[in-house]
Amino acid sequence: MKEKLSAMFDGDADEETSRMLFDRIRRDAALRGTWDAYCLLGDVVRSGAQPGMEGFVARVMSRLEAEPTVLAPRRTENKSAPRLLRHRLLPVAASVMGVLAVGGVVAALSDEERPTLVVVSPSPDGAAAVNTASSFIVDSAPPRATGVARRDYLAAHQAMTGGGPVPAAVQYVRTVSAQAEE
Amino acid sequence: MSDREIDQQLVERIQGGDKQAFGLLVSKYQRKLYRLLARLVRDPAEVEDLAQETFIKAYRALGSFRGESAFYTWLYRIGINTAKNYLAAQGRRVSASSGLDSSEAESAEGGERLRDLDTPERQLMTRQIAQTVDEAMADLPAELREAITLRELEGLSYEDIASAMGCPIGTVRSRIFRAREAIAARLRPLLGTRADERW
Repeated sequence: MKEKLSAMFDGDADEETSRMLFDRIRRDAALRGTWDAYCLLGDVVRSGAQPGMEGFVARVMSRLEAEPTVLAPRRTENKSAPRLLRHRLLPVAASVMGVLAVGGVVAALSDEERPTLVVVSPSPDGAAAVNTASSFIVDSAPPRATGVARRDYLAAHQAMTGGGPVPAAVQYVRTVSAQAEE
Repeated sequence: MSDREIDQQLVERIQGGDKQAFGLLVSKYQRKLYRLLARLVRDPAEVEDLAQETFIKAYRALGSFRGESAFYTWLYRIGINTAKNYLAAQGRRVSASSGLDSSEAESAEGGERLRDLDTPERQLMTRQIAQTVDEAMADLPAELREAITLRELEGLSYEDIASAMGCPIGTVRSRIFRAREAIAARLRPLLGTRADERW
């Protein structure tokens, strides 16, 4: 037991062994005396003459009897792995997600073949299938030339009208309106 | 486990309600703290009172100690503040030569001579302890003396000592333990063994 205590002083004991040693020290006054002696001789060998402190620990512990017991909630995040996750991996993950999000927006905006949503009004005779709505949304894939022409038109329109209250976002906002023919 | 991890384990035991674990920290740091405070306050009785007060304050504050710094760094800061407040209440000031307004305070582990103002009894005890350790070291077999010196003075790991001494790590562990036991056996009569000095 004392040899393990000596090894613990030198950082050569794992967590489980040191926990076991502290449990034992709590019950064993002789082992506490060994702890005292090892502390003292280490101080003397390292730093030379030491102040005589005989009985000091007993006096402090006697005063502690009048003190309420310290109770603090046990931390669940003091292990290295969760700390590593929180401080290193999460920022990296957030950066990757940010790049993916921006990349997704860019890819979506540059995709010429994507379906375009247009709003049309139902014709009186063709409304049978959707006759409960006054208008509905359908997908259509306009020809490439139409898409390019619309983009050019919108770019020219934005250049003429200037930026709105949110200039950076305005260029991505497109509005299309159509009037149903009577 | 490193020294700091061992301290943290003791702190967590105290935070879990194990008061006696605090005694192990007191035993470990009492002399370092005393030397620190002796740079601020000259009267040995005042130094001891301040050392006690520092440990009591540390115990009361341990519930909020989260291990962001090493335990001894935290303790020393409490000690310095306790001493400064004490001196301020007395209308006294910290001397500029103490060097305790700088980061030097955290590494003030001694090496400087203990004050000549110490009581004769304490001076005698100081001399006896140093002499006993010196004699016990001198009486050790060479391989034990070399092992404990490389560990305590040079701070080498068991692995490095094994390499330096050309022996297995298990042999290093055993030699250091036997050296400590031989020295501790000579020290025990000097340590408090009276009933009122046990904890």
